[in-house]
Amino acid sequence: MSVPKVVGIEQEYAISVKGRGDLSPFHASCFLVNALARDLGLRDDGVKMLWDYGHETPYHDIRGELFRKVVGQEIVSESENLRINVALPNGARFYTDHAHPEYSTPECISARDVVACDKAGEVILRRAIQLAHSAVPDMQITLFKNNVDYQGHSYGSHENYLMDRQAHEDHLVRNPEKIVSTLVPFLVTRQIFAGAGKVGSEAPETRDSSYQVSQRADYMEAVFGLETMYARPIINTRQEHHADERRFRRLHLILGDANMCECAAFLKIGSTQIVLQMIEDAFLDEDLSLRDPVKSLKQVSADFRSRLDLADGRSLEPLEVQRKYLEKAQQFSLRKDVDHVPGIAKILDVWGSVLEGLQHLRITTDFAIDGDPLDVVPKLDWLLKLWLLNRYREGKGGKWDLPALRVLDLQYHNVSGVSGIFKQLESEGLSERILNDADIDRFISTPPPDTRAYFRGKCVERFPREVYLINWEVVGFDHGNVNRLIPLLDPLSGTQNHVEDLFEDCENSKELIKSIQSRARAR
Amino acid sequence: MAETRFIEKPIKKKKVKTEEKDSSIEGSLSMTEEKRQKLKELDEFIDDVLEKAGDDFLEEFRQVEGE
Repeated sequence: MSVPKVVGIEQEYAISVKGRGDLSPFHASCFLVNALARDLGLRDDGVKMLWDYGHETPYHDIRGELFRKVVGQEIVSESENLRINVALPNGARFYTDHAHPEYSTPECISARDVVACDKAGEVILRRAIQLAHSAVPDMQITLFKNNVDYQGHSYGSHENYLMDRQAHEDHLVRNPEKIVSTLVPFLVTRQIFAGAGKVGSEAPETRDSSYQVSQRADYMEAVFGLETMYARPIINTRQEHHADERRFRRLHLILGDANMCECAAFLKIGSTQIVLQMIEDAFLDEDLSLRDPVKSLKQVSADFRSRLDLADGRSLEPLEVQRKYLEKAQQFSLRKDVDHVPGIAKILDVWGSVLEGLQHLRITTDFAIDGDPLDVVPKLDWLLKLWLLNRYREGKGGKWDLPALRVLDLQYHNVSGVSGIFKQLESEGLSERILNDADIDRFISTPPPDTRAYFRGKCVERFPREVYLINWEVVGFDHGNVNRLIPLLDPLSGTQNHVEDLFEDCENSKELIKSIQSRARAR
Repeated sequence: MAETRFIEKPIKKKKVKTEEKDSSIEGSLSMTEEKRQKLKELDEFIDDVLEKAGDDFLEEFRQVEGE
């Protein structure tokens, strides 16, 4: 039985620092985190909100194996913890991960909301840059929401989906061939609308490509695996569920690109939610196993119309594979006994129009867009970027080896301000939007109302001096002689409907806990 | 890369107003002076982005591997 497809995005940003040559990317990231935290009053005297690493188990594998020698989380000192983390009133986490600023959205139920939260993250990081610049005017920090640096490095745009425990164990642990025949072909082919586009190649398999659909495909090397920085897998098997393990599991996907286009991001998340729900409800009955999923992933990235070999001997184009999922999703949407993902009609509508648009798109062997009768280009990053690059190179002799094309590729993802090419395209109406500005603005300071993120965000907003630790599944209050922990093991509890009145009635966290306890006793 | 990289497929189902949608974004933008101006401004914006980025941008854009 499917569970609501709670979803969150973890976006790592590339960072560039000018004017302060001695400032490392790590320190610049921390500078941004703390500039924002100070502005929100979260570094005031008496506020000491630590991120709780106690539930992070990056070395545990859902398949039961324990990799590497280290067990559990790294030890982070309190001062270091405060330097790299801030939990925000909107339920999100902004922190330094290795040497990147990372923004993790709060948990959302709808694809529309999580895209809005991700976009709100861009606004928040832009604000952090402005604050840092005000503090040190000769320092210029620039952030890029992309996945490659053209120097052989990649960084992630991860998705997390809530899954039913039994379905997850059945498909991913006991019978992984089930996920290979259902989810993997979908993920391999969804890049035809979810890809962010990239000039050139960084893998031997795609070395002849002047332009690719996906940024990440070159870096994927396995179907299953625990790693995230090498031997990257299509399905990450980290056992770190951030929820009640008796009921829930987290599916952690690391293969996706960072989307700038709202439409592409919405479709990527929404379609994945629906496919996962169909898997949980045993609705997918066709075995679409690919003969070599990793090879196919790179193949699609290099040529979105190449034919993929299936394990049963058939060969299908990515568009044909996606149409099969869409048709099943359309049938599934008619079922009355399922709590469908919010906005399913819109997701299906966009899914259908994008596949139709891609079917009619005409691209030459030199990647010139020769016809787009159904206007799919403004919907998808890889096509919008391609259109832009083509416009530039046409005036320069049409070559693909111009360094300027890579500069434009990177600057397409610049979220810092005036040089952001995508932002410019969007402001000129050249990118099709799903959201309006108000959708994004409300998630800059307000948590989503329908998940536990509401409770977390409200605790940060109302009682910052009393919260001493926080993470996805717990809020801890310092009450002097005793610390009180509020578990948030159900991502669907702690919502605005559940607790808004408690926050309105309580002056402090002691009163809040009493109210929670008395409400629990009354049930 | 295979020779058959992108196969052009004829449009069969949908009728499209070709005078309005002849080729991608330019097609839908091609009819008015206002739209032509927009594309001109975009080109200037792109030139400005490249100029501001400078010659060393690609070389200096080195990230630490992360996840």
